[in-house]
Amino acid sequence: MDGSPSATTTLLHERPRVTDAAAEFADRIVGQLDRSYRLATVILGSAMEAEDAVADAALAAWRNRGRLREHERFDAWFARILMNGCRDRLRVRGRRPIAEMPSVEVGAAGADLGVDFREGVHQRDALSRAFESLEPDERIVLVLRFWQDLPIDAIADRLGIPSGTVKSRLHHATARLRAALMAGEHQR
Amino acid sequence: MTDDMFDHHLRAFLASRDPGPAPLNLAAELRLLMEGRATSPAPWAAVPKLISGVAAAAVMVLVIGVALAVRPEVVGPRAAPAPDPTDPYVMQPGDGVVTGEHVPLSQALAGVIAGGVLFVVAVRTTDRRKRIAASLGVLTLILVATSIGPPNALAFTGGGYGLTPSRSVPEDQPGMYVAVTGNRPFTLVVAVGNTSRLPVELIGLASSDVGLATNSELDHLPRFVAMANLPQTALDGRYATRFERTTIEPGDFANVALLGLAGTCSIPAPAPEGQGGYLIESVNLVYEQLTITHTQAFQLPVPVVITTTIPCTS
Repeated sequence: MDGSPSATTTLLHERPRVTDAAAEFADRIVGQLDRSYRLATVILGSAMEAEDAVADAALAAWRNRGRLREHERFDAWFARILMNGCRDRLRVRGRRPIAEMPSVEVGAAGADLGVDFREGVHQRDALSRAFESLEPDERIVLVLRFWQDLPIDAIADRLGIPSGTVKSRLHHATARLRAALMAGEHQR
Repeated sequence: MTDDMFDHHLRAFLASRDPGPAPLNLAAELRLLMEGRATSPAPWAAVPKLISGVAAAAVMVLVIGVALAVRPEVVGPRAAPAPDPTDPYVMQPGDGVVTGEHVPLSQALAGVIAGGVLFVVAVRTTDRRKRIAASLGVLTLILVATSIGPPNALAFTGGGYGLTPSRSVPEDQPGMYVAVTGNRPFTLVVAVGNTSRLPVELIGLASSDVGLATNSELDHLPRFVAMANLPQTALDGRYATRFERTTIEPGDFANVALLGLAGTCSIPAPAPEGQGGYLIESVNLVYEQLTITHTQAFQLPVPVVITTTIPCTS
């Protein structure tokens, strides 16, 4: 024995501790926290539920970290987990809207602001109700396309579905929203 | 509406749902959450939720099954053939008497397991709705446990009482005076009320009272040896039927008949000077509430008095 550490001892010292790995993993998730939180809120319509969704996605990602093969695609992988979590929450919620929309008074104040203001409020109200009635998959595709400005192929890659399916869901979703807007215009 | 206008409206609508940057505390909470999970993984955390749920349900069913299996039974003469339904029922010693252990270990175990599971869920879950639901579950368990409380759910709250055969009551000594000679039977009828917040199920007469009936050396002692049901509208021992478990709703009462033996020294006359007697102020009844069995000394509205000779020569 020359007093040098054995091979086993060296390995134990070199192996990162579990807490270090968790901290590094948390760093990567926190690195895209704003983007994830905003995306979840736009989809779910509730900041509080979005916080829960991000936390659940982080834990799910930690549990399934062994399945991540291409580490450079971590962001897309985590985003897909978050999307799946949002979809599950929307399905559980069903058609019960819990959107935290800022309220706008359309009464006397609206009269002072003119016709355009009132029309804008009515249109947004019609759009909101139509949006809440969309299927979860349609809602997610719509947000990725019109809020994140992702191209069709990127959305397909993000969700792991064919491009044709993305186009189909977009078509149905926009048709319903357009119909809702038109109906709102006719009612005025 | 043109495509451009629709596109503009839709983008404006989605932008209005954008909350802006994440709250400052969310990043810190995420770090704590993940490092907490990494350093203290529960041994069962890797078990799929379905399996753990099924296992938990199986344990609960097992515990409840054991609780039902060991619950006290009403015993009485069973070897005799069933009586002719046209014959009037006559109470026999042992009818409506409860035997068995009454320690609610299995129920307490089920409560502790359920409370523990709910507590763990409330502490560890990241879903606020689940946390609220689990916390409410724990509070409900505590409320139920405190509602069961001490065994004092039964009391005389009205409805009447009586004794047969009886004699006149001395003015200065109120009570129900038994008028039999020797170890003869007498019948007490009384309304048993439920003063608790939950329904109770009256199971029968505690065997501790009846034990005296099998000991001939104690035949001189008066005691109750059987219990029977009475109709809600007839407080009369002649309408007694074989005892069956009876549910008493909160604030309600049930009429029962109790068969007593007066003891070998009892006499049916007012006690002359130099003679004594016994006073029975309560009778031990067994009831069940939320699967937990209690034995309670049910206070009679007025004492049952048995006059006896002194010394008792039996």
